[in-house]
Amino acid sequence: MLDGAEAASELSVFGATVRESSAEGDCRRLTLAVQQEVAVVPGQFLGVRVSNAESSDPLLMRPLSVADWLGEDRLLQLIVKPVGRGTRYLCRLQPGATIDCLGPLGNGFPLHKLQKGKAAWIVGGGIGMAPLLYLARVLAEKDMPPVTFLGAAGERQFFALEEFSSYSTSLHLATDDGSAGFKGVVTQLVRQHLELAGRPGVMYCCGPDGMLLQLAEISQGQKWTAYGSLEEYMACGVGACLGCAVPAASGGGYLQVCSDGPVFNLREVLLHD
Amino acid sequence: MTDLDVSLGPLQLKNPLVAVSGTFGYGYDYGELLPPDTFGAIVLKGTAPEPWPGNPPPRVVETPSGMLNSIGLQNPGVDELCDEYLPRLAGEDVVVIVNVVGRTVKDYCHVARRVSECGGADAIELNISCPNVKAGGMSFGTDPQQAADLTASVREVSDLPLIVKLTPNVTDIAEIAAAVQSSGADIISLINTLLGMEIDVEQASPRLGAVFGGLSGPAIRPVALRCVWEVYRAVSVPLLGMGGASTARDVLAFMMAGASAVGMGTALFAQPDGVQETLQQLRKFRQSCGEFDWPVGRAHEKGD
Repeated sequence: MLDGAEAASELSVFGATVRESSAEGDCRRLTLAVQQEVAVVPGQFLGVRVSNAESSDPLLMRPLSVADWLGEDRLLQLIVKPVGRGTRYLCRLQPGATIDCLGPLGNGFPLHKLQKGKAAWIVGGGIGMAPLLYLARVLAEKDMPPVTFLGAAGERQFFALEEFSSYSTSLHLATDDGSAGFKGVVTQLVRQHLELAGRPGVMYCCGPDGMLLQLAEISQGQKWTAYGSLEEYMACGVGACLGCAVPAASGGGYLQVCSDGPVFNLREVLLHD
Repeated sequence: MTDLDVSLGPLQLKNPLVAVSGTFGYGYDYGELLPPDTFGAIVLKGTAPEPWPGNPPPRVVETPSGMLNSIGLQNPGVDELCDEYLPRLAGEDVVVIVNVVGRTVKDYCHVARRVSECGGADAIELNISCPNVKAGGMSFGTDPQQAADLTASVREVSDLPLIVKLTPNVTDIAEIAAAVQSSGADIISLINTLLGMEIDVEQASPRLGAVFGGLSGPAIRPVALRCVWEVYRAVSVPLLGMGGASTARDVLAFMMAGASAVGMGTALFAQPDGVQETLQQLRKFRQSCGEFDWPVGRAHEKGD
């Protein structure tokens, strides 16, 4: 666990009822009502069951980051991209449907380095924007609104842009096809802004490994601290099965994405394009 | 003792459920949701003489009603097990079994001796059935003579109850079972995972970093039941059955095939909250039987 990361709270399996399912670009935003307090912090994730309890297929829970947790109303938000059987199941759920969740899992984004008044940047790519939405809101509420960079294949792949915009001091978009904002990859946009930035700050990132790899290099060159949330196939989600391994930058072994992460200082892990 | 207690050879378990090796870490990963004393016994992660890094990712992939894994026995080595993990479990109301792995007979003996000396383990399970390592592992479990020799060697260096875990990836599992029984195994556990693979058609590429992996989950339960059935008829030592069990009915099916206790592994990933329900159902079954004992081997009465 990263120094200064928000501690995980007690693990439980809890039921959630779909309150609303709405389109967000290519994805669905699920708003889930839960009966209990879920002490989940930005960057933590849930295991979400994608079959009913009677069925063993699909078998494994899907690790999904939390896009928001509205504690007072006990509402969880997930943003789900339909890429496989499990995520398609979730995207088809209608209001009133119930699902089981395991969590909170993993360690969130560390916020301690920000208390020295450093700049906070958020960099998201594709569905990796989801956990950063919750982070952006929390940063704004702590009176440390981020500068936000989001990248996607095209305009339709963005979501929650109004919310990101309201939480951020400025919002910068990049698309591969040029349909919104800068035409090109988001890391190029970050590089341009970083050259003009003042003293080093902290970057919070989530997206494809290739993007994180670029950001690790860029941030290190400018002496910024970069935290990235990683994705990997998982079975248990709690550190028991050792299924979700990422090579450690030193020592030659592996770290577990679920229990050592999913948020890592990007200098600690070896990523591949 | 409780209303669910079972005997597994020299081991007394307070219930027949066993958390199987590699699915429950060192007992505490599930926190209050699934504490170690939920089970009758827990089997700790496969432990080698030295730390092993494990295989490159991806290490898991879901399959129909199952999953493949190629973890590759990532473990911190026996010294850390003895210094860190076994002491933490002292005082827990659960039978603690250490799964032992190695590349050579010497490796297995070193770990078994060290675990016996350091204390904290109630039994040793020899893993001669992991499909995910290149040397040792399953190669000891596919040849009756090698399996027997390894069992005899470990028997000499440890007084702990000795469990030998068999692989289903053989022509005649009963022959291997008889061989390890004759060399001093107190208990036989079975089955380890079935060797398999999956291919990503879009990428025209194996899905697992190590190419091959071990299949587990409900998909393999019929294979596991058949193996338990065959081995029950070939040996007299008690069996720890496993392979896709998740519900109380599954547990009873394994018992009826010949298992005295039943392991749960992949089921913990799919439904970590299901274990209490399974115990509840088993309690109901036990009450409905009145004085009767567990139905170990009962299906054999009608299976000829």
